[in-house]
Amino acid sequence: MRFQNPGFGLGLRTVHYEDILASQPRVDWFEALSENYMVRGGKPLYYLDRIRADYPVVLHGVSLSIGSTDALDTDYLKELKTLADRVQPAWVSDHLCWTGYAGKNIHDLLPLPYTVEAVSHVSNRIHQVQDYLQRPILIENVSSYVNFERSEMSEWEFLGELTRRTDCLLLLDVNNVYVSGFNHGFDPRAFIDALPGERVQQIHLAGHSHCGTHIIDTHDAPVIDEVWELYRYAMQTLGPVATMIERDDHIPDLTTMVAELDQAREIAGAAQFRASA
Amino acid sequence: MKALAELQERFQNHLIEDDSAVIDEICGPDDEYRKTRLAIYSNAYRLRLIAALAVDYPALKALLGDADFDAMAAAYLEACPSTFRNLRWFGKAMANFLRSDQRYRDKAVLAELAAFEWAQGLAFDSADAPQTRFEQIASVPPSDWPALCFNAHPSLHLLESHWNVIAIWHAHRDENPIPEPEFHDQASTIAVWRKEHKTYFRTLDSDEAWLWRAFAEGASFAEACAGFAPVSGKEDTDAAQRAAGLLRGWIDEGWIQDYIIDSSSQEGEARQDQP
Repeated sequence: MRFQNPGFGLGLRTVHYEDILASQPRVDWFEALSENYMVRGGKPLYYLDRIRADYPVVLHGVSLSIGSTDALDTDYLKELKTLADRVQPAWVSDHLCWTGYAGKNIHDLLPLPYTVEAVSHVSNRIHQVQDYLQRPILIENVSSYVNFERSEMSEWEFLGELTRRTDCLLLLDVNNVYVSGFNHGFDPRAFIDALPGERVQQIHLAGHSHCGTHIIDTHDAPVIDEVWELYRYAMQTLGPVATMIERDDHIPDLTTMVAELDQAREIAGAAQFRASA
Repeated sequence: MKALAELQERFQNHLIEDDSAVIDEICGPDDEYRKTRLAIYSNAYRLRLIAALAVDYPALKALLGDADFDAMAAAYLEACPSTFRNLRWFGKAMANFLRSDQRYRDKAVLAELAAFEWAQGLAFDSADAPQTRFEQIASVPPSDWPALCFNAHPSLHLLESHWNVIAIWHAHRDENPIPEPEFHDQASTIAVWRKEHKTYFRTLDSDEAWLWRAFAEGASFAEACAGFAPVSGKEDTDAAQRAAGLLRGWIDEGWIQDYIIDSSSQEGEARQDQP
């Protein structure tokens, strides 16, 4: 079962707080980075509460480390649950990755080998997290720069298996599919074709940095045309899915972000029109 | 899970210690390709965490200069790899690191500036709590004043500094040339706090610092005033007036969360006042 589709959203960023409250932009919902609000008080929670009063909010984390072989961090989960109780988000998401080993944290979305062992390990942990949070979570595909020799299946097969074993939902990052497709030489459309479409709850769009031989997922630029094309394909293939744009660096003003989001609305609208014609 | 754990250990060792054992695990036509791809992760690791320190310690970066700050941040990363889930806390040990590392411990201004900047971060997102208003304290009957005790607002942090850290910080904020570090024999006490979502700081006079610490350690108004007269160099009545004036200032600045009438310091029943 999927959650209701709230439409088209933006990542909630500090530089836009006042503008959001003053202008009430045409954004259907905001995605808040969970860790930015796992604090005791002050400005971050003050603004989150105020914006939550006007808009639906989803929580998106970077530190769950669902793929780590360390024990699940119960303090982190407790803080996340406290935040979710406060915000009442439409849903909670994090990444298919690990962020550290033996108590250390690299603060990056590190790649997993796609093995039977790993799918079993990650599934068990998703079950534990979902039981603790009392809600299904969304798992996002990351951009990756290496593949492991020991992988026994593709990334999309791994994600599909997770949904079958855990009833988790998927956050499909279309930019990450494009980036990883370029870096590893797979067809990004084949990735989208192979996903269990009924499990895709949300889509991410973002910009990246092309380094010639590889692409790095930097979230510091507008969405490029090829990613918009892949998004169009995803919309035609999957049907309407809640979509948002991430920007973490070189963040433009809110009006520019809303205009970029309107591009997503147009593409999704046209794709649906074509699908229903 | 054993194989996955071993892979994660090798991968992480590559990022933190530049250990190359993981390279055979990586797909690719040759070692050059594998190294290039792994370097994306190891470079990102250093750049991301050094950038996080630059956000927490902008004046320290201005004082050191970009290159020396990056070298210092890399040394910190090596000495104190993150054990925090939230990047917010990665820089927590910076002042201690600068105080103890042999490359930096002789430059004490660095640790004191780091402590000052970290305190501002703590004040920024510390717990929300009420701030007592003057009218609430003014409504306390005069007979209860001797037994008044105060609880500090959680955003308030006090630190001691022998160096001109405030001048350095202001110069950085105002984009002026950074002044030379200046040592003062007498340490000054700096208070950092938050009021209405804005972070403030200022230096305390020495008698004010003494009085605040007395309250922070649980002294009642009468107990604190009794010790305050010799500290302030005033007669008892003048000292009490000075203490009342300082208290008024702290209330206006939002330093006081709430107050208690402490029955153990006077006769009568205890009373908890909720602001």
